Parts: sequence; structure tokens; C-alpha cells
Amino acid sequence: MSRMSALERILTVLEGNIPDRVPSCILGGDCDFVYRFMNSPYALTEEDMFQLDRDKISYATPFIHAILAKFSSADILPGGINAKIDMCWKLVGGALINLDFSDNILSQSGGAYEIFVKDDGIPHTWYMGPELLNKEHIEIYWEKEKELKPRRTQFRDISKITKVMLEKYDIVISWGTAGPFENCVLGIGLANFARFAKKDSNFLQQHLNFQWEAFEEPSLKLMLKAKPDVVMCGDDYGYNLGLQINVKHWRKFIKPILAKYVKLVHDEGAKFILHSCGNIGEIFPDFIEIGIDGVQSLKPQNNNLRMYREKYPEITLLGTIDDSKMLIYDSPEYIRNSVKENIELLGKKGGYIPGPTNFLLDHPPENVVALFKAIQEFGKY
Amino acid sequence: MCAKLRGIPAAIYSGLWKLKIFGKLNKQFPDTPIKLIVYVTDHPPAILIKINEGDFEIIELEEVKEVNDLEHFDCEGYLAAPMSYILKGPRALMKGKNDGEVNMKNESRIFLILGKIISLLG
Repeated sequence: MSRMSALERILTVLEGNIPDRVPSCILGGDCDFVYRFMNSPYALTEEDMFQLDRDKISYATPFIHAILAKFSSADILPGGINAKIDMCWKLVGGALINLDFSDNILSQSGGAYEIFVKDDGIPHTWYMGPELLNKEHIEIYWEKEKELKPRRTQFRDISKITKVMLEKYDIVISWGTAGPFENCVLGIGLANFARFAKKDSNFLQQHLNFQWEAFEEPSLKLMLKAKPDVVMCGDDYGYNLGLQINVKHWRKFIKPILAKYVKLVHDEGAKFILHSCGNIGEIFPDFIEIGIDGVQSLKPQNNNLRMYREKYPEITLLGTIDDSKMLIYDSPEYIRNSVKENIELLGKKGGYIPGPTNFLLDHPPENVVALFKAIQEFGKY
Repeated sequence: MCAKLRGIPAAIYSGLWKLKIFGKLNKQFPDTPIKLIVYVTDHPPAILIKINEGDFEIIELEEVKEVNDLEHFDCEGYLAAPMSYILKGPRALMKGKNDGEVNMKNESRIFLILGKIISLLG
């Protein structure tokens, strides 16, 4: 088989076929990783940045497209480190709002985030908690519908960015959006979700419908106008041992809206990937029912990957390379062997796009390079 | 966890830190030194931003209690506005200035510099 482009490779896998070799994926990395990378032997050079600036490649965290481009081969970027990445991510859209009862600036979900700088001088952005703490808060939030509507300008450059990353660096950008569970729970909190689900389900449904109509559906429609090839929706359903909420509540409140996301994306001819942390095996049959093409994250300690591969061959498994322990503490050689084993276990018949299970934080750059070099080395069919 | 900056000062710091780590502070701000103040009136303290020869400093100005206090500082420009105006962008700030809700000195320089910082916040 002749060499495929990253896009052909990714789409071939997501369509259930076998590409020329196993593709790779990554979400991105925060400032901690940027600091480590820029102080490593792999750091972007003046020459790299001259080309990246000319191509208008983004340096913004946590998607760090400029750093991911450095993983290309030297024929693409002269200082490239030849540890190919086939697909990355970028979330798009999202409003900031101000509500009278809160001192914080809130995200569109109603959750509070804060940027802070530690003593080591490295900035971080953290989710600080829900701010819509009761029905009254939620009803005041509903009054902000106009401010929550996505702005067309936020989606203006999608086609341009996608085209440059694809044509010049052979990297697919999967365009990102937050899912209905995260949008709801980051704003009202898990305890309120569970309470309303049990005692005031009409109100919870009204809130979920509000978010769908106010910004979820309009954002998706604006994004899809740019004709992306792949959309990745972030919606963390799991914790280490299972779902964060009762599966009946997931099926009643979340699944129908998630199905609308998938339908909109498929109607425009794009593929739909779900990013969800934690153990989510219980709802894999639901993913198949609503037509999800791939599931990303899948930390091996929390998920029975062998079982997923055998029982649900329709779904492409993405991620699976443990970012919380192995990629931080183990050696490049250990990581290389682990990637080899994973490809043998999960990728023999396609359906596998390995990469770190989440954003890179305090990960040694040499381990990340070892990971992508190993995918290149052992990913041949 | 010990944070040396939070909130608005940390947000401005974050944008400048990203420019610095990629070696772009000098290119983005060739005409240094730069000294300007941002005062989000409902999210104090005001902050003094200093950029000079590829490095930067963010200084919290606890002593600023009202907009008039900004006149006493040695800086080339300042922006003093409530958060709701800042979130809505330059057009809202200019309207706020006309309505007397926003105070700015040397606004073209302020917009240029803050625009460069915000573009890398990501």
C-alpha cells in the first residue's frame, strides 16, 4: 500500500478499514509541558519558529500546535524530530459571562475557572467549581441566553487553520466541543445533577434543553459550516471505577442530546469522536447504538481494552497510553515496549489510534518523543 | 498549593509568559521599556505591566483604590474598566469611555499591547 496522508490514515481507521500504518493522536499540553519542552533538546529553534510563524501556526495552550508540528520529519520542518503525530485537537467557541451573584468570571457552562501562577513562575488554568448552586442561580443564568450565543467570528478561521496544518504539516485537527454532561455538571455540580435527576427531573431537563438550544447546537452548526473532517466532543462521564452518575440518568438525560451531536456531525459527513476520562465500559453499547465512531482517552488501568477491542470492533479506540503514571515516571525504553505491546493487542486489525490518554502536563519530553517514535516503529501493517 | 498571582494579574502574566518562553517578547514588543496599568475596577488590585528587553514583570498595586490614583504613576497608559466591559472587547470599551464608565489613557497603545498578550492566552 502506498503511503497515506494523515487524513486518509485517520479516516480509514474511523471507517473500520486498515490503513498503511497505525496513526497517532494527542490532545495537547499545558504550560508545564511547554516549559519542559522549551528547556529540552527538542525545543523549537529560531529557524523552526520562522517557518511556523510564516504558516501562522498557533502556539496557544493547551493545543500547542506549534510544538506538535516539531514532531514532524525534517522534510516538513527542518528541525523536526521525526516522531509523527497524525491528529491533534482544538476546542472552539465558548463565551465568558458575568453573573451578579458570583465574584468570578464564568465559562459558558456556569463553572468558574481561574488562571494562577505558582511560585515556580509557571501559569496554570484550573476549574474551581460550579457556580450555579441552586434553582435561582440557574434561572438567572438562563436570562443570559443572548450572551451565551456563540459568535460567528470565533469560528471564522477554522478552515484556514485546518488546511495549513493538514497541507503543510500533515496533521489532522479534530475540532472540539464540550458535551452536554460537562456543560451541565461543570455549571451546576455533580451533587445538583444527581439531586435534580431524582427529585426535579423536569427542571434538569429544562436546563439541559436550554444549554442545547442556547449554545451547543448553534456552536456545532457554526463549526460544521467549515466542513471539518473529524469532530471530537469532550464529555467526561467516568471516574476510575465507573460512571460518575447513575447509568439510568445518563441514558435518560445525556444520551439523547449526545445522539443529536452525533447526528448533526454525521449529517455533514464528518466523523464523531468522544473524549471521556474514566471507566466508561458500561455505556459502550450505547455509543454503538448512537453511531459514535471513536472513543478517546481509555486509560488502561480503568478500562478493559482487550474486551472493548473484541466486543466492540465497530468503535475505534484512541489514546490508551497511560498519561498519569507511565508517561511521567517510566523510561523511554519501557514506554517503547509498552507501545509495541498495545499495538499488538489492540491494533492488529485497525481500529486503533494510540496516544496519551489526556493533555500533557509534567511529562518528560523524551518520554513523549519515545511514545510517538514507537508508534511509528511498531505501527506498520 | 501556593499561588503568587491569581485572577486578572495571573491572566496577563500567563499571556506574557507564553510570549517569553517562545522567545517572542522582543519581537512582539520591540519598543521597550513598556509600562502600563490595567485596573479592572470590580476585580482589584490594579496591576502595573513592565516589559523590557525580552523580559516582563507584573506588579500588583494594592495602593490603587480609585481611578484618580492612576494619575500618580509613571506609566505610558492605563485602562480602568469594570470586568463586563473588558469581556466584551474594544468596541464596548470605547462605548464605555464615551459613557464615562471606562477610563483610558493612550488607548491605541493599550489596545495594541493587550491585544498581543490576549492572542496567546489560548
